[in-house]
Amino acid sequence: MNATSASLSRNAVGAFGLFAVAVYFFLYAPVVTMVILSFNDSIGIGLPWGGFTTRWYRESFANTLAIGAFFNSVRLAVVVSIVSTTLGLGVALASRRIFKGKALVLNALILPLLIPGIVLAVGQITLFNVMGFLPGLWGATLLGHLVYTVPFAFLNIFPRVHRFDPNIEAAAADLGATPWVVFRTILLPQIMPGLIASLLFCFTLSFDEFTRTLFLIGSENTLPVYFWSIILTDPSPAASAIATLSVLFSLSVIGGGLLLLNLRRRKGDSDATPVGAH
Amino acid sequence: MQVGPAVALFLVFLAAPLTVTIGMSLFRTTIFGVDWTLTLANYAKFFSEWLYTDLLLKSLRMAATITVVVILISFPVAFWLAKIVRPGWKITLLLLIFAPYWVSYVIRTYAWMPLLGRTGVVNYVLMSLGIIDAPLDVLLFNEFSVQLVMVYIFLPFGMVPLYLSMDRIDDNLLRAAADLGSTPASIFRHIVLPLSAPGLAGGTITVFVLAIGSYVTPRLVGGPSGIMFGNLIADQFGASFNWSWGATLSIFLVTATLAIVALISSRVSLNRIFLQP
Repeated sequence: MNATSASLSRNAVGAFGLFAVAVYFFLYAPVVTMVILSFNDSIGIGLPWGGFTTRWYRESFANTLAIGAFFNSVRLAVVVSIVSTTLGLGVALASRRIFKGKALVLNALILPLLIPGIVLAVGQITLFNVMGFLPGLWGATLLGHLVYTVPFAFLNIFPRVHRFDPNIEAAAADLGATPWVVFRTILLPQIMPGLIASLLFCFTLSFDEFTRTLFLIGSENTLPVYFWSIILTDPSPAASAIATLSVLFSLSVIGGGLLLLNLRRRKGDSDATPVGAH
Repeated sequence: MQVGPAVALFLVFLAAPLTVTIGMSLFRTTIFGVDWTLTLANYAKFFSEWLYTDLLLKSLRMAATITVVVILISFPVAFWLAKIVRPGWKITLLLLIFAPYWVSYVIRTYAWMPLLGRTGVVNYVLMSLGIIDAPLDVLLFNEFSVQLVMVYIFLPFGMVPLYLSMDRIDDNLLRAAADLGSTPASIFRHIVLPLSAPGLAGGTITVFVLAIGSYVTPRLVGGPSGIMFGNLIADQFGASFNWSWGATLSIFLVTATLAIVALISSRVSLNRIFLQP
């Protein structure tokens, strides 16, 4: 079987497996239950079961507030993922050489991962307020999301860039390729998986972000902010239906992305091996 | 030039907000707005009433409990996934651990309400089995429910880094140790534990920072007794509208959080945790 089976008894292997199954159950039971209850023909969010209905889904699709909030979320997430991947790529490329303040830049990038989100959100809204700007989707919220997602973009791209042998670029440049040609034909194909991963990651981070958004968005809505308002005021199976649709959307974006990455790998088997080989 | 835009963004929206927060904490908010005379009154207020230090300590304790439970659950699962599972199953099982990453924590918190509420699934099942006569109220709206739900939400943040660290451990090391007569306990102590240190530290820091700054979960399933420090901060920017007091509370939260992070990173450096290529 596998490496450690040699040193572990059959019972120990069985115990690990059982424990893992229990953890997977714990991880999935609540969300699966929520999905099932979103088809419950009852006004309560729990049991008893009042029969099967698609009423909550029909209501959700007719709910213009929810639809508007969904499109706000998608547009914001698209912009956030593209901008943060671009910024993350810039820092990752720069981090291959030594430059003044490099350590400071890298530490500043990690800092948002170490500060509770709510602290940054209230700090950002205070700043906006002091400067006389109004909160909103495309100002405060966009900036707040970017500070949150750029570190993740960088962390997705950095290992790819770091593993790439700079001598190959140097050779291409010696042979007369312009910097842009070197980047596009040599570096870009190698780091593409990192870029796609970063786009996906930042998209879902932004799409699902709530606490920061709540403070920064003012009177506009994203889907999580809208969802929050209905579960605080009027929790019904409609909330479960909207949540289910949102989960389906996130997972299909990720699923599509992984498929794309996989296709790329199959197509270009040879080009993926030299860098990934340790 | 490559770092310029990112640096500008971080100056404007990371450094400046933190500076403004510190500045704001040195003033007082009155019913007429902010009184712009420098004062340490907010800091004096924090220490003059046990209420605030108590809530901070309680939140630290809750976040620590959540982190420890997450790591204790994650360790065996990550090891199982990295070293025991057959290669054919690995990708599927790994994806199943990653998938909850892509589901909003608001939704994953909400998912517990139909389970634990008075008319929730757990009460319903227990009552129809005749185990209890009346719905249990202890399931929801207290410290226990907050911790349970946060363990659930943050589990992937513990499992994924631990898995990534353990997956890098060379199988031959484990085989060699076993061949030379090491017991599983000593293999764990001398090989698995030290080599998974970056994942362990990374998971611990991530879960702790997320838990200590929580707002959503305590607000939704905490009730009055499950409230945490993040909720107190948020309230100052909502109904109470006391921004300078909220800024002061933020500073205490950041200081406490960074102190714990520093403690962990004194054992395993942050570069090794986050930038290991």
